[in-house]
Amino acid sequence: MLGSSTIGSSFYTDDMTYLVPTPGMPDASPETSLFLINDDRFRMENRVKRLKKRTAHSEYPHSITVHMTTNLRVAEHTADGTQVNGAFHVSRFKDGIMDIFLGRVRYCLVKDGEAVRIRHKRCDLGMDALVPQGRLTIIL
Amino acid sequence: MDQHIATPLGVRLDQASGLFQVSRRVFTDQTFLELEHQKIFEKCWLYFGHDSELPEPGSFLTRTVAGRDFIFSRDSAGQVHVLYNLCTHRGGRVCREKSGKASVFQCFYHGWVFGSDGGLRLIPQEGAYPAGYRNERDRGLVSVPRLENYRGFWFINLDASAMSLSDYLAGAKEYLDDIVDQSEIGMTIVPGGQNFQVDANWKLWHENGMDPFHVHSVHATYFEYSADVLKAGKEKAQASGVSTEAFDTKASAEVMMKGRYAALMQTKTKLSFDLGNGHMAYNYPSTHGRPFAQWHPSWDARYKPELDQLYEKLVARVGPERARRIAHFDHHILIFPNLAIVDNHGIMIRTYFSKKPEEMLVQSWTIAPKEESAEIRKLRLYSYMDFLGPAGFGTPDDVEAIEAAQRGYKGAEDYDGWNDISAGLAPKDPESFIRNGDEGRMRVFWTKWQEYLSN
Repeated sequence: MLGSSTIGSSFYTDDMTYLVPTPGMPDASPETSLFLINDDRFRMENRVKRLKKRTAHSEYPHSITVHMTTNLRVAEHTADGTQVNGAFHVSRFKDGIMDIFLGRVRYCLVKDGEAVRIRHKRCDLGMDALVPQGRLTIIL
Repeated sequence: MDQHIATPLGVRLDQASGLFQVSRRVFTDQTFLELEHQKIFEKCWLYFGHDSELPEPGSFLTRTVAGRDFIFSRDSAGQVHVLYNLCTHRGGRVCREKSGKASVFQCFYHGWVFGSDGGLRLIPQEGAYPAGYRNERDRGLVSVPRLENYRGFWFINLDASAMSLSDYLAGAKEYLDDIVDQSEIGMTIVPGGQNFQVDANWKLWHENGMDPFHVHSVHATYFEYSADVLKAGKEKAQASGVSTEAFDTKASAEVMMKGRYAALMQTKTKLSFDLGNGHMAYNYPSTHGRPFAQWHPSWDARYKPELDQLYEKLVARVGPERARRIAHFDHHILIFPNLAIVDNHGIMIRTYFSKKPEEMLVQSWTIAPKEESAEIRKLRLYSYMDFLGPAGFGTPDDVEAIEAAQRGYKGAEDYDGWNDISAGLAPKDPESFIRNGDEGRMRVFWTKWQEYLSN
């Protein structure tokens, strides 16, 4: 809700959103349903800032992650940008336990000069409960 | 010498030495878990669901509570039922959907059909049975032994001879009222129930909700984020000419200390944390935004008039003192044995149950006033995740803390390890409670827990 941009990645536009719905709710809107993540740029930057601290206990010692994005297809060009759909598979290894997060990803991409930036990213998990993962503290 | 509260020995108290301890075996030993299932979960009132989850006749959902699969259904006459989700014929799972609307449920195993009130409607081979067989009362789906509700919160009890829900909730009712009375027409569960597994015993989660001392170390990053939010919000408000004076005064260190002192004094003098039957609650003056109803400088100024108006209406409805408590304080309510309601950045309702000593399934929901505007609902759902939920900036660090503790407990069996919950039992500094709080509310839970296990 706040628009500052003191830190963070230039992968994203200033008006970015990053959404992860509650598992099992593929068509839900964050305006009417409870989500796991509903970040604007301010909260996303603070998510990153938090993860870098030793006191972000759920991610310390830092977990080992591998991100795979596949089956990407350009779906359509809209006034917002280019809609790209695909699938993701993210593994998180910490304290001897491997957790897997997988599902469908929808991007809205825009061109900014020579760069391509993410305006919206939405990850719908292919599960209906965080069992056994228990938490989502990495960024998908 | 230790005064053993009871056997099997999970809790011990030595008042003279100011010592209160809980055996680490209660988190790892299958024997304790079985005793808990039998003596607590089969005896106590357990939160099941909210009235708003069954909006009309025929609405149903399936839910697992205390390890039992149930159907939560509203029949055609509007009456609510909790039915074992188990065919009376050969035990098939009668309803396999998460939720929906239906006038009947047909078991997919052999085709028996039941009504939304549980009554048996049809047997495909009815000619094979005596006349009137289908209409016998015990052929229908089995109802949970007891089902009662308090202001929209439905609870079940597996013990038919249990005291009434109202008596059981005892002093917790007035704290539930402070949640329910945030609406003039009733509260509603917002879509998006979140279930997740935590690799720790259920009692650690409940205990964590009462633990005053973990907050600053476990949630350090949340408080730093919160300070950044306030700073950025005030800069933004200043730049756009919006006054934050009312909030600044309300959340000033002096006012907060007074509020905190008053809340703690109330706790101390009226023992409001011990609400009877093992329940406890505490209120705490809030420094962040509350969707009902405290504007925060980090929130867009366009929300302010509506939140101020909600507050004024609340004052008119319940008076200034209670309005302040409802809208400007955070509320933590813990209902024995496994229900937590936390009202801070939004309202979180959470239950937890262990099938194995070292893990639990957590079910959580959020609830909001039915009449809330679309704008404030959107703000509420954004605000919730500042702290709450499996990807919030607070909850996952609690999970990490209790999971880390759980991992160590197995080893503690080697040397008969005990957790220490003594703070405040015999304080050398009589003002310590006011300055720091203490672990008294955790002892409320453990004392009741031991009492149930000993009966």
